[in-house]
Amino acid sequence: MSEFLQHLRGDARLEARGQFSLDLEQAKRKMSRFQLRHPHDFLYHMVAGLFHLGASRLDVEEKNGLLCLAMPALPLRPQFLEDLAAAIFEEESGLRRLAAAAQSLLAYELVRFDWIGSRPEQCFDYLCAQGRNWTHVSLCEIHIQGLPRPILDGALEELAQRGAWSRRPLRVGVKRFQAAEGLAVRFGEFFGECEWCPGEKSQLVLVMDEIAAEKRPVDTPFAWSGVCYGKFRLDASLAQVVEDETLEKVLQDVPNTYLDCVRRGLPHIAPELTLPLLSRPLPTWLEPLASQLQTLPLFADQHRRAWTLSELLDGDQPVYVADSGQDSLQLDVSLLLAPSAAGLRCLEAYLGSRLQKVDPLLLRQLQRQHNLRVWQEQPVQSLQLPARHWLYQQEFQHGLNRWVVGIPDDWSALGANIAFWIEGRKLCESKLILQEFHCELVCEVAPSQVNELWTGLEVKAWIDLEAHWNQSIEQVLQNFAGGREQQSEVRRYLQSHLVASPRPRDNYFRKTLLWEDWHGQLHSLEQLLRLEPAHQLGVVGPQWKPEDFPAELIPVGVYLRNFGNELKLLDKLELPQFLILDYLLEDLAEARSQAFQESSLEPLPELGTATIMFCRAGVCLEPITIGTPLAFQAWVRDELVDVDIKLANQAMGLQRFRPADAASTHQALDALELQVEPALRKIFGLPPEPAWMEWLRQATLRHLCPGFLEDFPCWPCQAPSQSLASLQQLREAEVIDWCSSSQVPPGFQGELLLTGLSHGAQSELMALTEETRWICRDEHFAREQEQIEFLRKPLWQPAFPTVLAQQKPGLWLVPLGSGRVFWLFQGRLIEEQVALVPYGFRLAVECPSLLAQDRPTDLFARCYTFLKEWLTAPRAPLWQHWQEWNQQQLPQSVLQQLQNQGWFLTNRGPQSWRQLMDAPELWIYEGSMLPIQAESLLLVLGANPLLSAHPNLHDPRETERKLTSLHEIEQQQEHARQQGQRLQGLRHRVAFEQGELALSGTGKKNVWLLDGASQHLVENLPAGLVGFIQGSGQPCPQRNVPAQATLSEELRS
Amino acid sequence: MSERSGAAATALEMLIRQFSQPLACLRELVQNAIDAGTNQLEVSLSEQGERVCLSVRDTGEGMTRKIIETQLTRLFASSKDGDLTKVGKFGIGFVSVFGLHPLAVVVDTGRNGECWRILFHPDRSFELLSLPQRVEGTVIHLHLPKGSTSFEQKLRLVAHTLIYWCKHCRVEISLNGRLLSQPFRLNLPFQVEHEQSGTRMVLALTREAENFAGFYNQGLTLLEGICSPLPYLSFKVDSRYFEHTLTRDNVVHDEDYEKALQLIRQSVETRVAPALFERLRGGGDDWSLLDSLSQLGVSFEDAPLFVDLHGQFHSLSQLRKFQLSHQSESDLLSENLSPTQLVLRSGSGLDWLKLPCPHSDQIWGYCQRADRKPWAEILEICDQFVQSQHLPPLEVVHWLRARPDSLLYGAERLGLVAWQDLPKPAVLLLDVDHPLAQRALQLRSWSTPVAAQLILQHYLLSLPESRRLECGPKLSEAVLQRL
Repeated sequence: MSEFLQHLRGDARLEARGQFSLDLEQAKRKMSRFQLRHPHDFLYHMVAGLFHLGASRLDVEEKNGLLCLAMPALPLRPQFLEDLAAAIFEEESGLRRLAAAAQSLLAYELVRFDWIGSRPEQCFDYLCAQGRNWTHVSLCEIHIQGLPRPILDGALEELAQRGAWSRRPLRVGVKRFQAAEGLAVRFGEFFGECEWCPGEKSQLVLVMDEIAAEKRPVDTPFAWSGVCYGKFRLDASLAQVVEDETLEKVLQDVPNTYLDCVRRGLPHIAPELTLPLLSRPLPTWLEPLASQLQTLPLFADQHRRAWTLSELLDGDQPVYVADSGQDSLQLDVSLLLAPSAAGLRCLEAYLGSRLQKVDPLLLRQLQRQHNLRVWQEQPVQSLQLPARHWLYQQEFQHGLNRWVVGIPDDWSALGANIAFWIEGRKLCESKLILQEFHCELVCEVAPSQVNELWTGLEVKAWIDLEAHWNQSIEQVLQNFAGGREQQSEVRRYLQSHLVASPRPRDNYFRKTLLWEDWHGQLHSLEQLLRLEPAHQLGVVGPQWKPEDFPAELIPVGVYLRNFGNELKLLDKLELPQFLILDYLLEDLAEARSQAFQESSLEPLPELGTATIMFCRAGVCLEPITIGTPLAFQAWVRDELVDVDIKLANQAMGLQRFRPADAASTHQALDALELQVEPALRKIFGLPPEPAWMEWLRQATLRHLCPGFLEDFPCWPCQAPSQSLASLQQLREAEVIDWCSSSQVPPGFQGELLLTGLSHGAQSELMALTEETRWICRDEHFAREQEQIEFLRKPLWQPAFPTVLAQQKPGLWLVPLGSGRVFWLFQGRLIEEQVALVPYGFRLAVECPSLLAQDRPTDLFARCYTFLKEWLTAPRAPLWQHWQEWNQQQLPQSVLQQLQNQGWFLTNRGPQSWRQLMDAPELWIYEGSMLPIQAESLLLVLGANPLLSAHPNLHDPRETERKLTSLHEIEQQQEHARQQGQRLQGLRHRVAFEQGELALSGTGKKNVWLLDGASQHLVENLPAGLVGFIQGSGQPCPQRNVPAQATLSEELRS
Repeated sequence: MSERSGAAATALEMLIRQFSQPLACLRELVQNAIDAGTNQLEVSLSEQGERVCLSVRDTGEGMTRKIIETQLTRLFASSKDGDLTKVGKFGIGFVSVFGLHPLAVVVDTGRNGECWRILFHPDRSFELLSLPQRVEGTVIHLHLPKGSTSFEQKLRLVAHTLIYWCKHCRVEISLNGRLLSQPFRLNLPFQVEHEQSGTRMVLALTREAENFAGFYNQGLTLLEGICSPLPYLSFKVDSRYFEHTLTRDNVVHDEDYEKALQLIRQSVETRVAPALFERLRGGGDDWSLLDSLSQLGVSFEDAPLFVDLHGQFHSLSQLRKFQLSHQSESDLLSENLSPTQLVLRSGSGLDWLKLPCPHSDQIWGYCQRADRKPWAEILEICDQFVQSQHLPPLEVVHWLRARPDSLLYGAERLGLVAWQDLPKPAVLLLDVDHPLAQRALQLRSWSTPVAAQLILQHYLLSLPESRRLECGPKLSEAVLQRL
C-alpha cells in the first residue's frame, strides 16, 4: 500500500499533511434548512427519535394547529435538549433523526415548540433554548404550534403511512398502530417477518426505531413482502437507507425466507398463483416442499374434477389437455381443461411425452371410443315402441331399414321423436320436423349407416330415409283420421289437436265427425264450414236443452255443445260471425219473466212520445217508442206481430227481441192511437191532478192543446182575484199584467194579473192571444219588494268619538280620518263611502230613493261652505286637515281663511300662515316654551311642513345656535356694562375700541378679558391697571384661583 | 482531539455516506466541475491491474492552496452558497467520494501558477504535494479496489448514474470518449421551448391528467418522475434559482419554485397556446390538446383556428354567430349563401368542433336551369295543368351536387335551395338527370301527354290527400283530352 501511495506521490514535493475540518455554524444553518427531503418529514423522524430514546408509546394528535406528541414519562438528561443540535452529525441515526427534526422546525416561525416534563410547570422552550424547572426531567409531551397547515397535514399523513409497522403503541389522530412482537425471521443481524402477498409488488420495508425508513423493491420469485426491524445507516437527508454492508446482509437473507413463506402461504393461496413456483427442476430452496406442492389440486378436467400433480404423475397413461370449450364432454378419459401458461409449462415439465394436447382429430377418436362403449353396454331388444298408451301404430320397411310409427295420446310436444337401433341396441334419439301433432318412431338401421362418432346416422343415410319416414307418418295419420266418427274418448284428443292446429281447415281430421250439436248430432269441421248462409253456427252450454225454449224464437242453425274445444275452434276459424247461444237463451228466460196477460192503455201527463210493449209467444219484446203529441203507455198482447232477433254474443235482455218494422206492427199501433182521446176526456172530466194541469199548460204553449180543453182554466192569476184563467179568457182580455214571481205585493189594481209566468211561456201565450196587450210587472214588484225589505232596517244614528264642529243637518267635522259620506233612505243607512268629502268631514245625506243615480253630487261644496263659515271665528289649528285639504285643491276662499287664521305660536304671539310667510326670516324653535328675550328673531314653535315654503326658514339647530350667540353677546354687553361701572370715579381713564382701562392706584392686577360669555383676569398686564378688554386670549387654567387668561401680543400692545 | 475536530470527524463519517447510492458522488464531482467553469468534462473508467481508476477531468479554474485548505477540505465552508451561477452550496459534495471506499484519491489542480496534488488516504487524511509540472483545471482520480463486479457492469453503472443526473448539463460530458449529453427535450410530438432569465423550459400538452415532470439546476437533475403539478402538461424546467436538499434528490418548494411554476403557467398561455394554434392552422390534428389547454385555464374562444373556403380563419366565438356547414372547396353553392351562413373547409378540426356543422349538402342544394328544348312539349302540357290547378310552375334543372330523392322538388326559386319543406313552393324543379325524367323523355316519343302525366302524377303523390284526390281525376281528364 505504501508503495502504491508513493507511486501516486510521483515527483511531487510534500508541503503539508492534514485532516478534514468542519465549519460548525454553517453546517447547522444549512442542515436545518436543507437536510430533510420534504419539510413534512420532521414528524416521523421526531417520532422515530423518541422511540429510539425509549418511549414505550406515543400519541400524536393535532387540534386547532397545535401538534401534540404525548408519551409515558421518558427520562432525559438535563442537558439533552441543549446538546441535541450537535447530534445532527451523529453516526448513530436514531438521535440524528430527532435532532434533524427539531432543527428543521427552527426554519419556521413557530409560535411554540415546548418540551414538557412530568413535573408541574416543567417546560423547555426549544425556540429560545431555555428551560423552566428543567432538572430531573421526564419528558411527557412535546407541543408544536405555528406550522403552516399544508406541512402539518402532510406530516400527519406521512407518519400514518410510515408508522403502520410500529411494534410499540402509536396513535396518529384516530388511527392506532401496533404490530406483533416476537419476530422469528432473521434478516442479517435483525429480525423481521415476511409473507407471500399475491397481487402486490415485492418489497422489503426497512423499519428503524418503529418507523419505516424506506420501502425497498426486491427481486423475488413470487410476490414476497417483508418487513425488517433494524438499525440502518441513513443518507444525509434521512430519507433513504445507505446501500452499505448492513443492508447488503439484510438483502442476502431475503431468499432464506422463501421456503417458510411458501409453506405458510400454500393453504391460503389460490392454486393458479402457486403454479409459477412449480418449475422443473425445482429451485433448491423449494425442494423440501416438493411433495406437498404435488398434492395441491392445481388442475381441473372437463367435469370440473380437481387433479393434483401427483395424481397425474401416477400411471403411464397419456394425460390429455385441451383448450376451453370442452366442458362436460363425455369421454372415457379425463381431459384437463385450459390450464394457464404456467400450468401448461408445469405439465410439460413433469409429464413430458405423456402430455398430449387434444386436437380435433384426437378428440373425435376419443368421442367415438366412448360412444361405442356406451352403445355396447345397452341390452339387446326387439324393435318396438316404448311402453305407453298408443292411439295408433303401424310398421314399415324399406331395404335394410325397418321402423314403427306410433301416435301417442299426448300431443303436447309437437314433432316426431325418432330412436335409432342397431342390432337390437339403442343408438341415439333424434327429431323430425312435424307440424301440428306428435308421433314417435323407432327405426332399425345398419352399422354402415352410422356416422364416424357413433352418435347418429350419417347425413346420406338420413337424407335417404327421411322421405320414407315422412311418407309413413302421413300414411299413419290418414289411416287414423279416415273420415269416420271417432270414439268419444279419442274424439277429445283429436278435437284438441284440431284446435291447436295452426290451420284447422287443412287438417287431416277436418272430415272426421268430431263435433256434436245440442240435438246430439255429430258434424265434421268441413260440414260446419259448409252450412247454408241462412243457418247460424254457434255453441251452446251443456246445461241448456232445446225443448225448453220456443223454437220460433231460436235462430235456425247448428249449435255445438260447448265443452271448451268447440268455442276455441270457432274462435280460431275466424268466421264472420258465430253465435254463443247461451246469451240468447238467458235473454229469452228474462223476456219470458216479464210477459203480461192483458192489453191496456194509460195516457201520461207528458208530451211527444208513447211507449208500447208487445208480448208474443209468452215472451215480452223490447218496448218501442213512437212520436206522438199526447203521450201514453200501452201493453199489447199480439201473436201476429213479427219479431226481429239480434244475434249479438252478449247479454241483451229484452233488447234482443224486438217487434219487426212490418205491417203487422203498424196495424197494432194504429189501433192504439184511436184509444187516446177518450182516455183524456175521462181524466179531465173529473178535477185533474196538478200534473195534468201542468201538462195542459205545456200542451197549450206547444200548440198541442186539444180543442176540447181550450176553455179549461189552468193559468194562475192574482187579479181581479186569486184564481185560474183559461186560454179562452186570455184571448178575451184587453190588457194582461204578468210577472214571473208567484208572490206579488198586495194592492195591485189591474184587469188581469198572471203570476208565475216565465218569459218563454209569456211570449208563447202572447202569440196565442194576438189582440191582447201584455205588460211585465217583474221590475216594478222587485223594487217594491226591495224597499219593503230595506225599511225593516233600524234608523241610522251618527256615533263619532269626538266632533270638532257640527252643522244641521248631518254635517260633522272630526279630528281625524278621511272624509266619509253616509247615504240614507228614510233615515236608514244605504251605504258608507270614503273620500267623497274633504278630510275630517262626516256627511249624512238623505236620498230620494235607494237608487245610486238619485243621490246628490254637491258634497264637496256643502262641506267647503260650512268650512268657510266655521273659519270666520278663531279656531284651534287643524294641521292634519290643512295638509290633506291641500291635496284636494281647496277652494281659494277657504284657503285664504285658513291662511289668515292665527294658528302658529310665535314669540310674538299667535300669527297666521300669511303673516309668517310675509316675515323676512323665520326661526323654528323646538322646545316647550318660546324664549321671549330674542325679540329680534321671529321664532315659531315646532316644525311644520306648511312652513316649508318660506324662502328663509331656519331649522331648530340653526335657531339654537343663533339664540346661543345672542345670549353670549348679551352677556358680554352686561359684563362690559358692569366693568364700566367699576371704572367710574377713577382718573386716567382711557376708552378704546376693545375696552376701557384706568389706573387703579393699587398693586393688584385688575384688568378682565371679556371673551364671549366668560371673563378672565388678564395675567400678562402690569399690576395697577383696572378695566376690561373685549376679545380673545389664551386661558390659563389653574386650580384654586379665578380664571386667568393671557392677552395676545397684538391686543396687549 | 479537540471538540471541534471531533465534530468534524463525526460529520465526515456521516457525510461520506450522505447518499444512499455511493456512485452519486459522480454527480457531485460533475457539479463541482461545472461550478469551476469547465467547458468540457471527461470521465473515464480504467482497469489498472488489481485496481480500477475512475477519473474526472475538467478544464475549470482549478484551486489554489488557500481554496484547498479553506473550502475543499473544510466541510460546509463552500463559498458558492448564494451565488446563483453555481449549483453547489453546501461544501460537502467532494467527501462523498469516500463512500466508494477508495484505496486512494488523487486530486491534481492548478491555479494562479500554483500546481497541487492532494493525496487522500483511505483514513481520509491527506497530503498536500507541490507538483513540478503545470496543471490545467482539475483532475480527480479515484483508485478503487476491483471488487466482485465485472468492469462492464461497473462501466454500465457509471454511465447510468451520469446519464440520470447529468444528461442535460450544458457542458459536454463524456465517459471513456462516449458523449452522454442529451438534448433538453421531452419525448412528445408537440412541445415548445422557452428560456427566460436563468430558467429554460420545454413544455408539452398531453391528453392525460398525470404527467412526467423534470426539475434541473444548470442541467443537473434534481427530480424526475410522474410528478407534474399541472394537469395535462408535461415539462422539464431548468432553473438556477431552484434550491435542493442535502441529498439533492428533490426540489425545495420555496418562492422560486412557485415562481418557476408561475412562469410555466404564463408560458402555456403566451408560448404553448399560440404555437398550438399555429400548428392547428397549419393542418395539425392535435385538436384534442385544446381541451387540455382549457383545463389549464387558457381560453381559445377568440383564437382564429377554423378556416373557411376563402382561407380566412375564424374563432370559436365568431363561429357561434353563424349557421355552419362544411365542404372541401368553394363552388356556386357556397358563393350564393347569405352572409349569415359560413362554410368551413372540411378537415380534422370539425370532428372536434363542438358546434353543429353538417356537410353543406345536408342543408342546401344548388340547381341551374337545364336546356328546355327536349322538354318543351311535355312542359307545355304540364304548365297548362299546373296553371289550371293553381300549382307552382315547372322548371327543368340540373342539380350541382346533392340532389333531392324526388323527381320534382318544390322550392322558393332556382339556384340555392334549402332542404326544408316549404308550405307553398314558388316553383317546381324538375331534375332532368333523375331516372324518371329520362323515362319520361323516352315516353315522349310514344305519347307526350302520358310523359307529362308521369311527371305530374309524381308531383301529385307528394300533395296532401285531399288535394291529391282533388287533382288526380283532373289530371287524368286533362291527359285523356290530349290523347
